[in-house]
Amino acid sequence: MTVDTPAPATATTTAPAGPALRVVNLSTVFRTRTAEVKAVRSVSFEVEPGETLVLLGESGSGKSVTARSIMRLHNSRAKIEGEVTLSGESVLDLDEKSMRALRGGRVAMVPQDPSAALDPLRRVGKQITEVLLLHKQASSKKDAKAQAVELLRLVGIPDPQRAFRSYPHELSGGMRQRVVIAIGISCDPAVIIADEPTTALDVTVQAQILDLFAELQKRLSTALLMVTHDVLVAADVADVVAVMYAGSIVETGPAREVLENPRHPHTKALLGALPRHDTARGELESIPGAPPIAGQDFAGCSFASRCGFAQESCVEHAPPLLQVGSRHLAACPVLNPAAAVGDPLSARPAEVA
Amino acid sequence: MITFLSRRIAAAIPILIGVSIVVFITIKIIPGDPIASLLGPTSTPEARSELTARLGLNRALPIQYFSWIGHTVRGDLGNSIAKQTAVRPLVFDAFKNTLILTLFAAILAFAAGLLLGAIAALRRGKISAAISNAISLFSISVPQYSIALLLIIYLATGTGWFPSAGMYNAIGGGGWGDLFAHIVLPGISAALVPAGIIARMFRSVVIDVMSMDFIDSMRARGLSERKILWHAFHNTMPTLLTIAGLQLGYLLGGVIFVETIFAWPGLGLLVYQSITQRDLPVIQAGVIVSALAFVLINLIVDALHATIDPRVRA
Repeated sequence: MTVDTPAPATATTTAPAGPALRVVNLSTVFRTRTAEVKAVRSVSFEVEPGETLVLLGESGSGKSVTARSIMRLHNSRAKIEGEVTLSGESVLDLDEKSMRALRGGRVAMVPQDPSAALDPLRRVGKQITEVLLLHKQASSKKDAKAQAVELLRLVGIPDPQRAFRSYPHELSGGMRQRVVIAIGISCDPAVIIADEPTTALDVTVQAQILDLFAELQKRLSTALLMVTHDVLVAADVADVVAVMYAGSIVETGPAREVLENPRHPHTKALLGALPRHDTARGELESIPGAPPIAGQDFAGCSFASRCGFAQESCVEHAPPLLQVGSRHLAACPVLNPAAAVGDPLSARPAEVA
Repeated sequence: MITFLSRRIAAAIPILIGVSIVVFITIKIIPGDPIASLLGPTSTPEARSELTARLGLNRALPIQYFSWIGHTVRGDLGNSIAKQTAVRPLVFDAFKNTLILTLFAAILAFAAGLLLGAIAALRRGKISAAISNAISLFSISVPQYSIALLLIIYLATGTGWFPSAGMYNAIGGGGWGDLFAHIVLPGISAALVPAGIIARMFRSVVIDVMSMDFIDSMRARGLSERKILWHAFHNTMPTLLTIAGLQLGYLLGGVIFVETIFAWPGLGLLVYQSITQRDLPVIQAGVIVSALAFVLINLIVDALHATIDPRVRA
């Protein structure tokens, strides 16, 4: 990212264009018969058109739940609170019908496993034209077919005509993910939510798919919200990184700043756990302890029990996100004693601030 | 598709040969002497050995088998020992009646099974699901003959709504209405167990399909629940067809009880009577025709399966 210019951390942006996606104090609670599981705790972030925000975190940190909450894909047992705005329109109080029009239209999802995301019994082409016709993006079946073939070409499929007629099982994993991405971008979404889009792919294909995302984003100026547990993927694609732990964002800021100069013990530990070329064989750094158990509530910092820096006050009060750089925030008063409370929505790359 | 079908047909031939050998051996080892039942207990040893020689029963077993199978393949099913008529029209008429009953029962079983299974799967956790689970479990557990008898006692002899036996009224019978009145009770009795099995299997396949990732992906693409359900149903079809093949086969063989209780003039009743009379040619032909029908049904199911699921073609 570009070098920061000293800008005041003022609250709430009311720019006329506005962010493509704005999430304020989003909380998602799953109610089961025995417990309430707070999967997402008051998460806030913004993604501008053309920008990539990566939600980075280990399994169970709430990153996927956050992504799915934005599209309201949870069942009725989930209670979603807060504010989600998609290019100016508030999402959480829309009725189900208007919500359906948004899904696949203004906001698209690229799921984790491309092999499972396509209907095995229908030809790939039909599954693309279905979405085009559904969202009135194509005027006729013929038009839809032409657009679908063009989309397949756009996502880099060598023989789009043939792919159009193929069944999912006739394509490789990488090709299937390209098809899924083609469906995702088919209706010109303002926001693409990609939930671990490369996890099921091998490393070379993974790099190709990430390149494809970058290229498409540049061309379509779509906002991209990517969910991943992979620090290297985050370093590769992110403009802004938000590190999640136990349902909250513990650190956020421009990707390079967060990943090169982490200011929260969890981010430090996460980066420390990356295998290096000079790590001895058989030795892997790991974070001692385990995350809080889902369904058990806690008052203080979620990371306190595993944190080498923890003090008594950490267990008592949940620390707010503190301003540790002009656009860099971290929820750790121990490492950043002098920092003031910051606005999570101010974490963004310099050029769009 | 053509290579797929010819492979399946080729695979069916050894199955049929296997069935014919089993039938042949069974006939040979079941107690009871056909010669004795033909000539009666007072026959002379000379007459017995003469008849044995004339029927070829003194030849080596493999020769008897090949002679029988040779005739069967050419469509010559021999003569009934007890009825002294050709077996072929006897068996074919009975088979036609069995087929009518089987199809009726299959339609009932599928209509009820799919409905119960869909409710149990899609309304999980609600009372309606619990009720349909209970009904399907009940229909599997209750013995067919007891339900059949209860139906006869209350709906046939008790209220007189339905006839208690046969396929047509002896006097002034015939026609669709008469057939329908006669088929309702045996149809329900025969459909009961398959309906329960279909319900339970359909429930689990619907739950399976609905939890697959692509259903979720369709939701994320903005498809309506109705469209998603339709695609989900499409994805249950391969399993459903397999169930259909097995249950149709089961019905075809299983209506023997129902036919006996309701005196339905089908293959089951015919074979049952022939067993009591030691009428070997009819038993053999009946079993072979059932097996052939079973194999044929599964062949059709496989072909349909291939048209629906691209992954099993090739």
